[in-house]
Amino acid sequence: MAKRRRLRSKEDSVKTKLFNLDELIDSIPIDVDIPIVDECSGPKRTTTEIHASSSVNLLTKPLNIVQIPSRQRRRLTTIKKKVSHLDPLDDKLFLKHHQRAEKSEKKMTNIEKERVFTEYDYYLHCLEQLKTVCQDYEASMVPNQQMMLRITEPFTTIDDPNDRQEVLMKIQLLIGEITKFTRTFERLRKLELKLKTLHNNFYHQIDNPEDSDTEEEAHMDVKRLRETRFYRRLKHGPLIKIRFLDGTVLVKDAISPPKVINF
Amino acid sequence: MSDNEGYYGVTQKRNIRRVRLGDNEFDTLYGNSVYFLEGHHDMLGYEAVNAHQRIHHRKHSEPQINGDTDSYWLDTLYVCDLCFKYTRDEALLNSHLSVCKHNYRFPGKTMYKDNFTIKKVSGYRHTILCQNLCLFAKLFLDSKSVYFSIENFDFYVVLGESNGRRVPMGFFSKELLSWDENNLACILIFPPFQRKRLGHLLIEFSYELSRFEGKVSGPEFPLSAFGKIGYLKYWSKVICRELLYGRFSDCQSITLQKLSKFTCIRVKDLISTLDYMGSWFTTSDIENSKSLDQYPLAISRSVLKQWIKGESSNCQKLIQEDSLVLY
Repeated sequence: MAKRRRLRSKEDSVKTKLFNLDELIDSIPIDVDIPIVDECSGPKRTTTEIHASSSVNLLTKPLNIVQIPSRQRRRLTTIKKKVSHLDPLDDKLFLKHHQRAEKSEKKMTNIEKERVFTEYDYYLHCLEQLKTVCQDYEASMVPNQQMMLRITEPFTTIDDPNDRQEVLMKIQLLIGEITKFTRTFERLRKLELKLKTLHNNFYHQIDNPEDSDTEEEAHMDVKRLRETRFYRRLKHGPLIKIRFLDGTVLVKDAISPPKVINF
Repeated sequence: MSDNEGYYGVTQKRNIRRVRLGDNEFDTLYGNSVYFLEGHHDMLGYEAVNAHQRIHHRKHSEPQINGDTDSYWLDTLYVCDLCFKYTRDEALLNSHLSVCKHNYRFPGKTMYKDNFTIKKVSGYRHTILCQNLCLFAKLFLDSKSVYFSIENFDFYVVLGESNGRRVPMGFFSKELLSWDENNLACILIFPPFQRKRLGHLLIEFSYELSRFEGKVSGPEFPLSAFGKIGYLKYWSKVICRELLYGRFSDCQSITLQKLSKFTCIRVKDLISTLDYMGSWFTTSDIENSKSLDQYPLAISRSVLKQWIKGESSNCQKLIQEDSLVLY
């Protein structure tokens, strides 16, 4: 039976509700101009202090680093009666154990994947219900409060169910957050399938510009490297650059996704 | 000592006392039970699995920690500093070092070439190397949950000169299927090579990669203690550089969105950093506040300047753009 994995994403304190929408509502808006001033004497923004974790004492723990003279190493090898050119730590030595351990790790990953799949189905279902509730609140003078509370209860707290503004804001934020989740899931699924295809085709590709790992490149200087890779990429299609009047530049080549350079 | 039964790979105490990496030998910081098979703590995992392997035993006296007698599963682990293959036998490692296939060339695609080289090593292409790297890294990282299923990870390894050889000095890993599109999963500079600003170099490189990909990104959370310090320093330098001397040095105001897009640093990381530097002020008491009434917070340049002075930092980039080859 696979052990639990300590996932860093789950290490935060347990939230009673899935989405902390109050935090979203109170957060600093990202599209408002914030003044930059030279001097000021006003009060600083109240902040939570950035704490290091309890392992902070490890930052200064001495590790007693000792350098072993290389002559000592060579002397040890001459003690061996037979000099062998075979690698005593060949890959095959590790293969069995690592493959078994990989299978075991994948079991844990699959448990997590299954959970995400279930969540995805559940969230899709909830999304439909939330949209219905949202329409009800927007259109009706007497919306169905009980239904609204039942649907929003797993996700967030409504402080005042009679406050239409709060209810609508939170439902809309919830719809936004759930839509983000489902889109991220769909994006990752597509990417996973793309990576699988890449891996399967990898050894059949004669020239893989994305992951060249050749000996000849290892000895090239930066300028030569850039030229070689640039011309190799061009074999797969042209490089297109569109300059807009406001200075924005759109770049697309045959391999990478399109990029916007606007500074 | 026993495994922490809750979590994979985590032990309550260090189970390997010291590690020899190439020419350097040093203490470990954390335990790693994944080097061993469950229930077989007297030998390494591959030794237990390969039942026919001739086992070399070394007897050693029980070492002490902080004056207390404590037993380790292994006193010293010997690790090749090029391929990170590991063994309990010093002689075996020394034999391997002269024939290690990475003696001639460390694998991977060169992405940065200067005094230090950064190479991208695909977890799919170089499975054993990357798995061994993850196993080794756990000895110095509190939190790590992936060691063997690394086919969807890229590893960016920084190489430098040490005693006439070009060796790996640290690395960061990047998950290709990251939920939050993180640009870094874990980062480690190996203990003998710390204090050379290589951590900063790798963090800066990870953001150059994000810039090349056209993404606003950041590290996987939560950060370790080392990670928190490293990242806050990096983010602070970037904000100071751009607001004092760089792109926004002449601006009277800025949006977090614009700053985020330009620096490729996430908005929440920018906010944490501005909080950390104490550079946010409420505008009600700021001079000439008539023109500043559009938003109740403002950023102070003088505080940023004081921060740079306090850190004795020059905010310049470590990465030389001419040395980058990101495609």
